[in-house]
Amino acid sequence: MEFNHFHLPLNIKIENLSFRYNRHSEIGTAVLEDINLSVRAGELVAIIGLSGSGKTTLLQHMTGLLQPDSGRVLVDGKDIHSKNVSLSQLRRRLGLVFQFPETQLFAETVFDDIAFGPQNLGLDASQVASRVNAALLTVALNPPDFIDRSPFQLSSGEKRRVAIAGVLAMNPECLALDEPTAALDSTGILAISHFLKAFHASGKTVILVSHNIDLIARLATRVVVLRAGQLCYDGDVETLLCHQDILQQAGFALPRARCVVNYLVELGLANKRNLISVEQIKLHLTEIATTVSKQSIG
Amino acid sequence: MLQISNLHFSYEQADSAQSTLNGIDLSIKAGESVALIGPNGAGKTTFARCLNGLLLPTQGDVHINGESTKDRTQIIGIRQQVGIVFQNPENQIVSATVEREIAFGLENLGIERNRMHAIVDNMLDKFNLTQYRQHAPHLLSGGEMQRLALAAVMAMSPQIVVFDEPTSLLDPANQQLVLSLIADLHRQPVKDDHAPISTILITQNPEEALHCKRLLVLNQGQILFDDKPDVVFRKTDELKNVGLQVPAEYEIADYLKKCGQEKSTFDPTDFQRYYAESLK
Repeated sequence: MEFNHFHLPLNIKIENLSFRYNRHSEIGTAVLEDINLSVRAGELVAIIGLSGSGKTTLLQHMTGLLQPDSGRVLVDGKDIHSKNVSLSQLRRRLGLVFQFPETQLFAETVFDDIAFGPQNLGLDASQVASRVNAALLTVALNPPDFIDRSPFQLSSGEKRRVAIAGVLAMNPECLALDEPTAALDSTGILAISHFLKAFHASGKTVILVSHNIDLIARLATRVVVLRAGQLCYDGDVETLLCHQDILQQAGFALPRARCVVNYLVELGLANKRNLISVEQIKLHLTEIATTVSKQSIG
Repeated sequence: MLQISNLHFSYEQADSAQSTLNGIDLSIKAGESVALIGPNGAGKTTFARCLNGLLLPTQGDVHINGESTKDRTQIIGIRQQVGIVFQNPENQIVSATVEREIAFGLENLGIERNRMHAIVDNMLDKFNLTQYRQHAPHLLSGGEMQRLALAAVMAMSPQIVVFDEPTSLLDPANQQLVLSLIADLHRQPVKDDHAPISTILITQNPEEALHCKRLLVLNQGQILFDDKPDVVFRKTDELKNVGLQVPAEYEIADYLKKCGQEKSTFDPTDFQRYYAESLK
């Protein structure tokens, strides 16, 4: 899988950001309060928290869809709402995948839907076609099988991936996704997970809002926990999993795979607790089995 | 209670080769707690819609307490007996306030006013919505809205409640809440003139299926497995072949077995007891 590098990957910095909806009315309640956060190029940052904790609002600030009441959003050191910054340029570099992006599918064929963005960039037909192809391959859909089909006749997992391909066809350097695996089956979740991993491995930045703790444990290099509009944790996944109180405040239980590890350790079948996926557990069990067989031979 | 025989359903014309449901035979007894899993596109939602006559079989029959969904004179009775809570409650909530939403179905059944008020109050209380009774439903949170949708369905005193992926849009805390609401339905004292309620939980999350007593696996419009969840999830490879994951403990147990450790002390059901303890 290849991703074009037109620009250097971008850095996002949020300084003292506060925001409330309906701020001029009595009923306006604070959604985000004094948030400080910086996302460095190449990170895969997960944002978690209960419904209503401000995750989506934060994401919409990062992409300039909302303007903070106070505080600033800086991209590569520049305030995105200052006069000399073009938001349309920014959005080309920072692709936002909304919740249920498949509701935005509109064209008669998958090709036309994905091609819409690149065509508006003024690319010629062959460039557009190659962007569409590359985007489809990235989300693990075989182009010849899909380009002529109606996006409305695909399964929900396929629709979701076509919609994401539409954003990818713009060659963003950073992708911000709001609940990309919601309501998908395990095949769909796996496909999204593989694609995010590859996209991130190519050096791009990913900001991921998700309730799927297993997905986060497998992918994220860093986790940010929001609670009632405030940032209450910012660090690596492993440390978070060791702080069950924070995890619970964020509304999460330990990933099931981690509980399986703890149980294996209690049974004496494993001797490492810091594993977070079924694949890692299998690897560890294999290591133990090999050590044991070596010892018995020795 | 629920009898399905040779159920076929096709969204296209009847002669189309592509049908969504392909010959389902099934019966569900009063009081059963059933989970239904299957990959996207397997026909889960179509199946749900066939249960209360929203969709009619292109072939075969669905009987609720002996009445066919094809019998249009029985449709009101069938819809009262089979309630559906959809994935996105916003799609099924129609009223301007929470209490009117709960009353909506009762009004349509022509329930006498005082009795209706009593039922509405009872439902508001039971689903912890009393403080919101005058609120507009669209201002509720996702979890609250899902509670309201269930309250409106339960007001009709259905015998079967079908949950179509009720947790897939909720955060983990609200997912737990919905699962405990479903469990509560089975704990209710049964009234003399009522059979115990049956629930069908359609889900993408195999771990949720472990909360049910019986698990159906739907693939390409057919029932692939119908057994206790613990029995079904031990068929790890067969489930993976149709694109379904099993809970982590089954995958590890399967792996240990494949590594030649048949006599491993690790067993999924033991783990589940340990897991339940750890949550306390």
